[in-house]
Amino acid sequence: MTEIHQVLVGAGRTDAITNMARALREALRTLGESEIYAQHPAPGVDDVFPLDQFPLEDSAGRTIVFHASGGDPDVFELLNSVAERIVLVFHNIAPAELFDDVDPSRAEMLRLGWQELELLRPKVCLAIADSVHNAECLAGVGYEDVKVIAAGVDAYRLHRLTPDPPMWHRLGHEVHGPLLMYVGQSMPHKRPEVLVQMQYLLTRHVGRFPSLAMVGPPTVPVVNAAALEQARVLRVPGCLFYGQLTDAELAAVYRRADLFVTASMHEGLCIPILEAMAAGVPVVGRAVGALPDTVGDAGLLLPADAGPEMFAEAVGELLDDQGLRSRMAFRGRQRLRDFDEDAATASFLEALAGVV
Amino acid sequence: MPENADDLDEALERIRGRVEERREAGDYPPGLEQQLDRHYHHILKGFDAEVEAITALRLAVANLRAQSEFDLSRIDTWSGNPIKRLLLRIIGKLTIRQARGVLAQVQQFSDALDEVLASLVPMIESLAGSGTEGGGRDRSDLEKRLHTALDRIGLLEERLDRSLEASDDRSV
Repeated sequence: MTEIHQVLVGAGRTDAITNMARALREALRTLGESEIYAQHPAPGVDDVFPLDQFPLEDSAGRTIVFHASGGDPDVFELLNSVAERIVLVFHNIAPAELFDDVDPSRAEMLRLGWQELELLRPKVCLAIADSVHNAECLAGVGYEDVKVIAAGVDAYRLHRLTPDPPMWHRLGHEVHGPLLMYVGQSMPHKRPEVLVQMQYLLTRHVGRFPSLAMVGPPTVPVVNAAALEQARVLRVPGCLFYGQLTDAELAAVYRRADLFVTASMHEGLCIPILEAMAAGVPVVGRAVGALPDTVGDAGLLLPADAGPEMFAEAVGELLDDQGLRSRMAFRGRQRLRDFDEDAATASFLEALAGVV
Repeated sequence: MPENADDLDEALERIRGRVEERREAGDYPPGLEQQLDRHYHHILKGFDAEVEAITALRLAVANLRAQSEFDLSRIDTWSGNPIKRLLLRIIGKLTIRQARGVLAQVQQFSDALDEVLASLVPMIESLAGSGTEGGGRDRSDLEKRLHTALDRIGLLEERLDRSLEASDDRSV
């Protein structure tokens, strides 16, 4: 019986890569046995096995689907010793230099990630990137014929959920005026502080009083903690740091939001932006990494070096122009046709059939 | 890479123009962004694990406070099935007295807990501060106060449990 397991470095309850692996697991199970293994499964993740439970016996001819987003010596060791062939799904690796001061050990793992990608190359029988940008990055470390397939992406996942009633009630209580939202892990390249500074300028210099909901797990807690502290010290009104939410809670935030704003400096694909487009929420971000490809003409992309002043004016502009917001929301839904989950899964399985 | 639509290009031009206008008018003073960025990095550098934990605690307390307004309207009685919806409404009406009683007790408990937490956070902050400055005696004193506060929380929890049990008995 065919056995194709997936291996991840970390796995979370709601993180994008784990969700993609979950969707692929369903597709892979049509071919045979398939499970997900992760070196660092988060507490409460009960559908992903710890890597030390990976079945080591009968490894001859084994193919492993490896989701690369960072380095880890134990994962590398397992892939090197057990996998005969690797199907690499590349989600990109965050820029290590931004982690040097705040989380040096993570910075080291990120650097290691690139080295491991080069070392694993001889075993990789199929390289898949989930965006054109990621494919270009992979080509930069010597990979050829990288296929671009955003497999396992279900942009409408949250849109189909009933928003969590208590969260909806809480938003009604806490949100005053329009709601700006951001979703992403607390990591330095996501630049949450730029959004807090944007909110500071909006409320102090532009005379606008939206609320700003910041959502996402505290991967590098000091990053969001410092942004929160800056909001407190500068007495910035309307900053709502919600941390990690359940899917139903997040669905409530998307349902209530007027704009999705991200100041991230590096994105390999950015699933939250696809989810915003599915929810009809216009997107504002920087033209960096994969964002131009992901957003297309459905979002307002500022220059890569845009600071809080430009973000504040962009938010002001869009809040004033309901017509433009509606057009962006419409284009967002059209744009999502390029991210059709069934078509991507079919492409993934077709590519896999060529090598397994 | 797909091109921005014309309306987005135009919007981007207006945004650029407005940033310039505000800079010229002095609404955005020169160096404002750099100042804000330096301020953030100054905070970031000053963070050690203890301060980070206290900020997380402060955030958790703020979140707890935001959720501590108990109200009947927050109890979801909606269902996609009209019969279930009717049934939920009837049950809601029949048990409104009990539900109000429980909510009042929970609100009372929450207010008392909020008071305790409000006094705990500065205490923990001072504990962290005295830890770094070597204030041993202050720390020991604060530890005693902390234990007293924790005992009080324990008593409040017991009281709430007893009241809820009594309320259950009455409703049965």
